[in-house]
Amino acid sequence: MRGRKGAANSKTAAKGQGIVTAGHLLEVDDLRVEFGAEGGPVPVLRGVTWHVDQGETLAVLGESGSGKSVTAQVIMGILESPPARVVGGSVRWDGADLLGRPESARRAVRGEKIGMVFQDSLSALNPVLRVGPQIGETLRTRLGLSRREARDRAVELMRQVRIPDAERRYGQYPHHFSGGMRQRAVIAMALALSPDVLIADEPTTALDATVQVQILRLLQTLQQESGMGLVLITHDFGAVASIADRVAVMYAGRVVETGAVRDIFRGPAHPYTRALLEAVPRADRRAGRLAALPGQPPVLRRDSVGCPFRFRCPLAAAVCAEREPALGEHAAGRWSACHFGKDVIAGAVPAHP
Amino acid sequence: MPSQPILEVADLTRHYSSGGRWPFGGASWVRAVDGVSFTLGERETLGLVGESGCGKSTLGRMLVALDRPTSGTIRYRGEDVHRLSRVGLKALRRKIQIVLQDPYTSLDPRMTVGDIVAEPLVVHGEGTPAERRRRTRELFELIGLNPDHLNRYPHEFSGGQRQRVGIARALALGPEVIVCDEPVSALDVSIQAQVLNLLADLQERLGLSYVFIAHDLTVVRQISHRVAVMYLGRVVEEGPEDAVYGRPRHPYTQALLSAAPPTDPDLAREQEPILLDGDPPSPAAPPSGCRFRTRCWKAAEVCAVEEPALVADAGSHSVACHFAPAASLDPA
Repeated sequence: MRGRKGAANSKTAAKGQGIVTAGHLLEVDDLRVEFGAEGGPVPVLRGVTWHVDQGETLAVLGESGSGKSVTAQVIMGILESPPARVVGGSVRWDGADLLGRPESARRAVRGEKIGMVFQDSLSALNPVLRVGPQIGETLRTRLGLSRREARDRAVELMRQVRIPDAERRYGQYPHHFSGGMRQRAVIAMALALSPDVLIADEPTTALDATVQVQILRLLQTLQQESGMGLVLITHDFGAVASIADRVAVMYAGRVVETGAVRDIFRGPAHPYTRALLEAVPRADRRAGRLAALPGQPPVLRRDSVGCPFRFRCPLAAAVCAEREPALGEHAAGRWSACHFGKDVIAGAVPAHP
Repeated sequence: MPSQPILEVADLTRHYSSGGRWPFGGASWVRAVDGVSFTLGERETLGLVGESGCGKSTLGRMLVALDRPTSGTIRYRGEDVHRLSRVGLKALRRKIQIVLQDPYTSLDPRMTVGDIVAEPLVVHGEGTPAERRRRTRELFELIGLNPDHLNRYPHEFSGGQRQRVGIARALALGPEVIVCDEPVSALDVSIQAQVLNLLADLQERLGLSYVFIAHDLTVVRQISHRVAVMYLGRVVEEGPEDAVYGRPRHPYTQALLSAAPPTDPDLAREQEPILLDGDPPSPAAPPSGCRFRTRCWKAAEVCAVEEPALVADAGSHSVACHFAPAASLDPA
């Protein structure tokens, strides 16, 4: 562990994590993506590593710009390139690399094995087509079902996502659906081919609070019923606390902490996670004053050195400016990219002003 | 607690016509705000919380006289805001300002942030250009931005910094009341905490009163002294922050609170959320009687017939529900 922590580049450590628990269903390993920009490419993902297996829920938690959605876009092959470019790392499905394979092979995995739900259900549905046939469309194109079969299956899927009166709703247009019902329809579309992993990118963000909790519970129920793996990309701490098994916290294009939800939320191993948890206002008590994290996320450059969090970190020391810490295991199952991960777990962190 | 109210809102309504126009059928009316009353004291923050379509933003716009009520009154220090002369209205605008949700669209991209903050001073003919410059620098220091960046444009700032610019603009004329309409909902958690702390500091230093409009209950609790929960144009529960959050009496408030789980995984999993059916109905066709009854697990016949009145208990905690538990009891 010492050696890994001291490893000069994060790739060693990222690979190390893979070795500890080999053979995951969906695995993102040291993924690196750059966006073309005036004045040279800008790194957006700088070595993202996480995995998900059947029957579990992984929450990818991070603020805007941390790269959590870009990771999902690479997996689904919907990242616009150019301007984006995958410059390193791999995405593996059941051990086989996806990025290096021909598009036809990738296409077979996406959709059939991996489904995706987006934040904005209004733009995920075609406004001039009836909702039901849109759900059934993939069944006809991918599985070659007849119109009749696709219809029956679509109605069944609509029931599965608890759309009331599914038979009648089948023939309605998206604008007849409320925001919550549209998001259910989009989930039904993602489930049409019975994927083994469902990636949900901010699936409740655009919805009202009372509807958010419905959709979150639905995803949890569907995950438990089918035993699929669920990747929940979110910035909502309450949602993560409610349904996630494991968490990957992202900052500045990397996973800076990963582990079991209870471990992380009770005693984070990275000062960023800790600061976020302290900055979240709560409904069950009123904090005198929120422990606000000073400053803002850094603008990333290719030649940036050191820990990108050091400008906002109460623990920052000389070493943090010299080299970027690798994602290392500081205690059993407690991975974080911090030179002082052990101290953070022990709670030895000065509070933010 | 404050003594003299600075704002008194009585039975305020705002109805919009929508849909069909003659000869294509009669217009329907959206009752965006439908009989809202509250008072705001000095140095007090009233949180207005509710989901989309509950009328909270329409209410906010009427408070700063950007929109006229259909009926009802808003009194600022005893004076009816919507009966003021043009001169009176201009004077009022110095005293009541607004901060909007989206710091990306509420700042003119072609103006420097310095000009944006100074604009209210120009409009109201305050001071010489040099004096305005000095005042703008002061405001920048007050809200934690570098005064040397006055000549930059909004796009050179992050979301949190832009929201600070919006706050500085609202403070320029030395207002007493600021209506904050979802001021932090577009911001990330770490930035949100900075802005909430700033608003709290400014209240302390300048003696401001806030009407704080948001859909996020946790944010509202953090900043508010009193909280009013709105549903389809009506206030369904109102009271001191600790009472509304600690002993919610309206089923809607209870459901909203259960939808905001704690960040402790064990507590979050223990807390069984109250799952309401469906989405909030359209404010164009609110249900008869109690507007919440179509999603309420306590609904009975009386709820369809009779709209429950907002009734206060001894601790000025009011609720509009036929089946609200007695004030001293814990919620069911």
